[in-house]
Amino acid sequence: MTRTRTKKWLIYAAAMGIMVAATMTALGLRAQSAVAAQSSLEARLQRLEDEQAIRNLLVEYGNDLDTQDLEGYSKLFAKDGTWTGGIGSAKGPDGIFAMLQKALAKAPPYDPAKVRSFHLLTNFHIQVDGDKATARSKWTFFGRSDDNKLVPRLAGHYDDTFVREDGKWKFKSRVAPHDIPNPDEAK
Amino acid sequence: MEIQEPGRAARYSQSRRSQIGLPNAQVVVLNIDKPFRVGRRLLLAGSAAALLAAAVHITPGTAAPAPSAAAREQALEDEKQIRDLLEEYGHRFDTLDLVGYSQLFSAQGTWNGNYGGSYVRATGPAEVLAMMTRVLGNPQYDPKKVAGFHVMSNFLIHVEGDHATARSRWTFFTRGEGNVLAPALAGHYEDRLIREKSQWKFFERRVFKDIPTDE
Repeated sequence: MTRTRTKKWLIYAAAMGIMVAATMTALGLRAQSAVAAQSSLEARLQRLEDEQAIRNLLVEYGNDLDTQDLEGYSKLFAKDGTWTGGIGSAKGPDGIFAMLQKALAKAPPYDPAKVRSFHLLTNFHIQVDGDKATARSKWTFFGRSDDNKLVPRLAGHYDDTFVREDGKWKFKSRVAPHDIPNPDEAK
Repeated sequence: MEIQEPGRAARYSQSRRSQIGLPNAQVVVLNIDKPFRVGRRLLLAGSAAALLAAAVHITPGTAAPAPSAAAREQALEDEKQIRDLLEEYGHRFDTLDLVGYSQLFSAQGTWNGNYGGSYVRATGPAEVLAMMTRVLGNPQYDPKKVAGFHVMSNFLIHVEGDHATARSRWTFFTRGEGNVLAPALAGHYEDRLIREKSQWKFFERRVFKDIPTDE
């Protein structure tokens, strides 16, 4: 009698133990999947924010160039960031600043009442991968003719790589090929 | 009075005291030892309280100094809605939906710039509509005879809660003489936006024509 009762209690205790363990495992798994869902939401948010920040970087580049803010322009590049295009190539903010200063040495300073040109920036295609990213976009360069008319002058595209430097996206490399007029025939 | 080394001497038992020739100074022993015991209890109670507080606060979403996921998602949605507003402005202008165009301005929203040969500051949808009809009349849009269109580009938008600022470019193309596509005018916008009844509206639009320059 006593032995059977003890056995019964042992079975009950074991069953209870298994139930408690199962519940705790289930709760643990649920907490784990909640954390996973949160981190994937976090990753998706981060990717969208990064994409937006890079889109802004592409436009800031155009604004700085069109208003001849050479310092602001050169600071959009990473420490070892490179620029390659029609006026040559340069490395790092200081090098890029020097290159532009030389290229624009004879150009009159920017005057908002006498705008001479601007870059129309379109077709942004941005791909973010963690702390790195790539982009391809189009530029169409418009100018003001001698008789004060709006004229399209050059068109090309940008091939870019980016890096997150001190929490900010910077150009790691920018290549700015001219498409039309064809650079070889123009020479 | 001798000052005893509290760490060791104070802990000696009475018998050990007499053995090594320390005075029977129970008061001194108690006085020196008491702060240590109190301190230890405080430490224990403090750690227990800290552990309890930590256990309570580890629940997700409570202490969050960085912007929440919801706030970050909202900022992204706002940026997208404002980009849509900047493009919608061009679409309603190009399709001559002047009433719809004027409704993109908030109740106190202003349009500022040169239009129809003079500097205009129109406040609110009614004044904006009046300005447009004064310059354009009441034209009907004919998709078979498009007169011109705006290419909107270079959007730079900064959202701060229910307010935002934006800068963008406009390039206006026309159907020129001989039925050819011709770039005609270009400029930029400097905007302040406001969330009005959960819709983003222009609070201030400043229109700048860059090329050709005014002579």
